[in-house]
Order: sequence, then structure tokens, then C-alpha cells
Amino acid sequence: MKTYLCFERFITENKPLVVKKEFSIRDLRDEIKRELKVSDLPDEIKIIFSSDPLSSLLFFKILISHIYFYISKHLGNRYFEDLFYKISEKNGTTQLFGLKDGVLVLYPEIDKKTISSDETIFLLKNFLADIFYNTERSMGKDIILKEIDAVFEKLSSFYEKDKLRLFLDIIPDGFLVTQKASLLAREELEKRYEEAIRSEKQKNKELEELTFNLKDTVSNLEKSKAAISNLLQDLELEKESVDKEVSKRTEELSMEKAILISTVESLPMSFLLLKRDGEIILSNENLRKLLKINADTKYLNIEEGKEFALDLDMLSREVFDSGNTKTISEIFWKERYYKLFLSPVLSEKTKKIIAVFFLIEDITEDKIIERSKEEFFSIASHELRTPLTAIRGNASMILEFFASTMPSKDVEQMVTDIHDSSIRLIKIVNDFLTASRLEQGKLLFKKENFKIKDLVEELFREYNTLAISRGLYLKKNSVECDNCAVFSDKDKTKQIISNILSNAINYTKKGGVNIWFEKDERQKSIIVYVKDTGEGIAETQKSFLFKKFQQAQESILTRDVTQSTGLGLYISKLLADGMGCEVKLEESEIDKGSVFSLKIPIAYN
Amino acid sequence: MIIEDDPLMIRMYERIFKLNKYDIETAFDGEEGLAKLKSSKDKPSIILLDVMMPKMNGFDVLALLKKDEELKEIPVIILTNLAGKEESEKGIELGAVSYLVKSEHEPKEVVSIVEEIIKKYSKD
Repeated sequence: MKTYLCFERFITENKPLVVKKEFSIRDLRDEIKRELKVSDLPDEIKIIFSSDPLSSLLFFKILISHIYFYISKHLGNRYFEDLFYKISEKNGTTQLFGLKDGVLVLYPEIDKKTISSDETIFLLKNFLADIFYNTERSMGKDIILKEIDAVFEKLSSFYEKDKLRLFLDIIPDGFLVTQKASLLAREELEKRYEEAIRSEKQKNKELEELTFNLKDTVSNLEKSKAAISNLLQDLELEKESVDKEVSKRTEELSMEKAILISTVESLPMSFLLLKRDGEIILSNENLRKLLKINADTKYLNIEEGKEFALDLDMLSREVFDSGNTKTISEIFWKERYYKLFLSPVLSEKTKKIIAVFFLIEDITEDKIIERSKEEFFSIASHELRTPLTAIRGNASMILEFFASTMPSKDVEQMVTDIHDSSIRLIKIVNDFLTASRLEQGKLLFKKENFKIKDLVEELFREYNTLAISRGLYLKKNSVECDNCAVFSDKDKTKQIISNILSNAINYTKKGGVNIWFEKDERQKSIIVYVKDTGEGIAETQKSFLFKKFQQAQESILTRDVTQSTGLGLYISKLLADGMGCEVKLEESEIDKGSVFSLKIPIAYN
Repeated sequence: MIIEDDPLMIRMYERIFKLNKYDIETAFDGEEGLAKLKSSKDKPSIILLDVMMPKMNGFDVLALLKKDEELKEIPVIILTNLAGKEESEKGIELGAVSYLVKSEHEPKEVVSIVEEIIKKYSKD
């Protein structure tokens, strides 16, 4: 071991191993002692040195193997090879050592800096082979084999396995074959044994743990057993009630589904529920007939319904993207009119749109009715008026030009009645048409700014003659704002006030009618008032005043015979509503008279 | 001249104008009216024109009248029972001097309106 350390120091401390060209074993021993600074060398070395020069040779071999081991361990194989390469070069001979009179001669000069490639092992082996060759030549192969075996045996008793291995590797091919094999086999066995031991230890450990855990588990299990049995009982009960709940809910759901499907099926219009990708979730018979698809059709890509189906796809996507409902009031397809309504269906939980439903209504019949209604009004307006015009015109001509030829006053009165009735009928026709148009929203309003004073004066002039002819007065009260202007449809505003005025005159037997207007700054409006001294309106009748065919009379059988159609105030109200005005009864008292008003928005600049 | 398809109306208006000492020519439809106007040497002072008539409606007749160099100066009154606002606007737009709804006027009022218009146009 000391030798080992000695050479180790040579190598690790980068000191060249200086060996005299010719030295005795004693010299070598002394040098080693000096280097190691020890008084004596260990026994092992003594044994080796004690024998003949052959032993020295073997020792050298061991040294070489150690040198090789250390050089390769610290510096790598290359260094070692280079070292010996250099040695041979320096020496000028491949024979690096030899025996001379029983003295070992060698020339190694270890120099770390001389480095070469991986011919190391090759050179070392050559070097050793050289040794063996020389030994063999001088002493015969048997001897060297015997010596190597002896050294190996010696080494194996106190060297670690991996170092032995190194030694074995260094020995050139053909030597120590059996030792190599046995070493490898031993190594393998030891490895396996160690592994077996290790795995057994591991298993034991695991087993121990398992046993411990098992014990623990068993005791826990015992404890839990009672609890589990209780729990099982509870679970059984729970399960029963859950089962009941589930079956109840299932029943409810299937009921709901059945109701939904039958509702959808019985809808008088087409119903469709689509997924985002256009897959049909639900449809009804009407829809399937309309698009000519089957109950199991998945997508709306049927050729026949394509025109419509493509539109539906597009609309569905639109609703998916916008999240808003959509109504298409009219769509014309295959000679018929349809109305479409689309709405997104939101998930209750996520509030995301999961589907879009469509309602498609065939409105062709409605369209036909609407159109014939329009036609009816237009024809009624013309066809009713023409004969009425003839009655009115001819009666008035008789009265004007042939009054003198009348056989009696009675006949003249009869003709007058015919004339008046025709006028009243014309008025009814006109009012009826106006009311219908207003109801349908077909009457357009043309709003403008105009002076209210001008309108009131115009109306005053028109109705003054009528009032006088009835023995009544018509007063236009003094007005403080001559320039007060309103924003409204002038003709229709006039129509409303005319109606109020003519009512006032018609329902007044004595006294007269006042008309005036006031400015309401706060409400930004002008209010026109018409006050009469007429018969007044009973409390019970007030709420019917602005209704269709209502007059201030108890029943339709006791209708007033004055010139009225029963539509006047109704039309006035529709007109006022239509242009942002307000017509109302301000006050009324039986036999004292009434006050009506019309509020008109003030003009703005 | 009055162009009107309803004999009741023709008779009534013919009578009132005659009673008021007017010479009045009648035509039962647009074609007849236009033909008579073209052929007569003495053009009428005014034309009363109905709208709803067979063959050609009053508006078409009016348009043709206003295109005709000889006839376009004669004032035309639309005299109809079509009471719609659009119709009356259309009539005025096409060049009628007035749009009267028959049922709203006594025959004598029609005469006085005609008188006023003739006066106004003969002055010009």
C-alpha cells in the first residue's frame, strides 16, 4: 500500500519519476523510502523484494499497472501512452527495460506534458508484451505465466476488485485468461448477490410497512364497520327518496316535453329551433310542410326549400351574433307572404345563446283582406259619394230653381229633408273613411309652424254665419298674443276645432259660443277653448264622449237629429293623438253648457 | 265641356250650367272628350274632368291635354268623388287649376267656382 502511495505522489504531484539508468533493487528501495520519508517499507513489498530478479520484474509489472491506473485515472489514457511513446523515442529502442546481471534496467521518464492519442493501451500492452517477451525469452513462458498468476493471487488478496480489473486489462492478450473470466464471473455474482440482498431488504421493509398498515387498517375497519352499516342504511333510505324524486322529475320532464311538442305542433304557424351550426333541434308539422322536409331532417339544405332555407340559416346566424330578436314583417316566397319572428334561446345557467327559434306565419290571407279593405274604402269613397252627390245636387237645384212650382210647402219641406239627409250621409261616409284611415295609421300628418290667431279668425268667419242663422252668438275673445305660433298639421288642427265648434253650435239652443286661446308657458303649448251655453253633458256620459258612435245621449235609439255622425269627437281624438295634441272636455254642467279644449304644441324656432 | 262617364252626373251638371246660361258640351270618356276638343273650332273656356272613367282615367286625359299645344291653355278642373289627398295633389301637379270633390259642393257652388276661374283666365 505504501508503494502504491509513493507512485501516486509521483503522479499526482506531477513529479517526474526519476529512476537511475541502472539501479539495484536496494537503490530503488532506498529511493522509495526517501520519498515516503518512512524508516521501513511494509511487509508486502519486502516479500516481493526478497526474492530473485524475477520477483523484481513482477514488482515492476505491478508498478506499471499502478502507474497506468493512476495516470489514466487522473489524466486519462492518452497521457500514459504518450509517456511510453516518449520513453521509447528517447531511448531510441523499443526495448524499454531489461535485466542486466539480475538488475532491472528501465528508462521511463514521466512527463505529464507529453500527450498523445488513444494508442495508450496498445503501447502499454506492447510495452508489457515487451516485458513478457524478454522474460519469456530469458526464462520461458511457463515461468512468466506462473509468476503472473502468483502476482494476481497475491494482488487479489489485498487489492480492491476494480484495481485488479485494471491490472487484468493491462496484461496483454493471452495471459491471465482464466483469472479474467473468473473475476468477471465473481463480479457478476457479487453484483447479483448484492442486488438480491438489496431487493430482499427492500421487500422486507415494504412487508413490514404493509403489515403495520394492515394492522392499522384492520382495527380501523373494525371501527368503521358499524358506521358503514349505519351509513348503508341511511344510503338505502336516501336512495329510495332520490329514486322517487328522479322518477317524479322524469315524469314531469316528459310531461313538459310532451306539452312543449304538442304546443309546438298545434301552433297555427311554422316553428323551428336551430342550433348555431344550423342543426334542427325541433320543428313542427307546419314547418316541415312549408320547407318540404321530414321529421328526421337534420339540416336545412333541401334543394326545394333552399331559397328560404338559406335565408333562415343567415338570419339564424345574425340572431346568434347580435343576441337580439328579429322580426321580418313581410317576406314573399313561392307566391305567398310570410311573417318571420326570430328569438335567441338562452341557457338558464350560462346565459349563452344555445339556439334560435323561428316562428313563420303565413300572412297571405291577411294581406288579401288588407288589400281588399283598402280597395273597399277607395271604392266606397267613390261609389257611395256619386249617387249621394246626385241626390244632394238635384235636391238643391229643385229648391233653388223650382221652388215656385212646388205644389205645397210640404213638398218643399220634403225636398229640403232629402237635401239635408244627403248632406248628412255624405258627412257620415267622409267621417267613416277618415276614422278608418286614422285607425289604420294611413293618414299622414304634415306639421308646420303657423299662427293660431289666423286659424281662430278663419274658423270664426266660417261659423259666424251658422251661429247667426241659429239665433246664437259666436264670440272671439280678445287675445294677448297676436304672434303666438303652434307646430302642428294646420288642416287637421282646423278639422278638430271645426268639429268642436260645430258641436257647440249644434248642441246649443240659446245663448251662444265663445272661442279663445291661451298660452301655457310651462307646458310649452297653446290651448284653444270653446265654451257653449248648451245642454251640457251628464257625468255618466263623459267617459263615452270620445268613443266611436257616442253622443251625449242616453241610448242610440234616442239619437239626436242634429247634424252629427257620432264620429266627430272620436276622429278629433284620433287626429289629436296622431299629431301630439290633446283634445278634452274641460268642464260641463247640465243645462249650463260645456267647455272643450285643444292643446297644441307651441312652435319653436 | 264636361268629361264624365256617369249619366246622372252629366245630367245634373249639364242642367245647372244650362240654368246658369252656359253652353256646355259633354263627353262620356276621355277619348271622346279629346276627339271632340280636337275637332271643335270653338274651344271651350274650361274643362270639367272626372277621374274614374272607362278606357282612360282623368289623370291620363289631363296629361294628354297639357301636352297638346292647341289645348294646353284651357283651364281644367278635376271634378271627382275621389277624396284622397294624394289624388288631389296629383291633379294639381299635372296642371289642373282646381280639384273639387263632387259630394262636398252644391252644383251652384261648382258653377260659381267655374265662373271665377273663367274670369281669372280670360283676364290673363
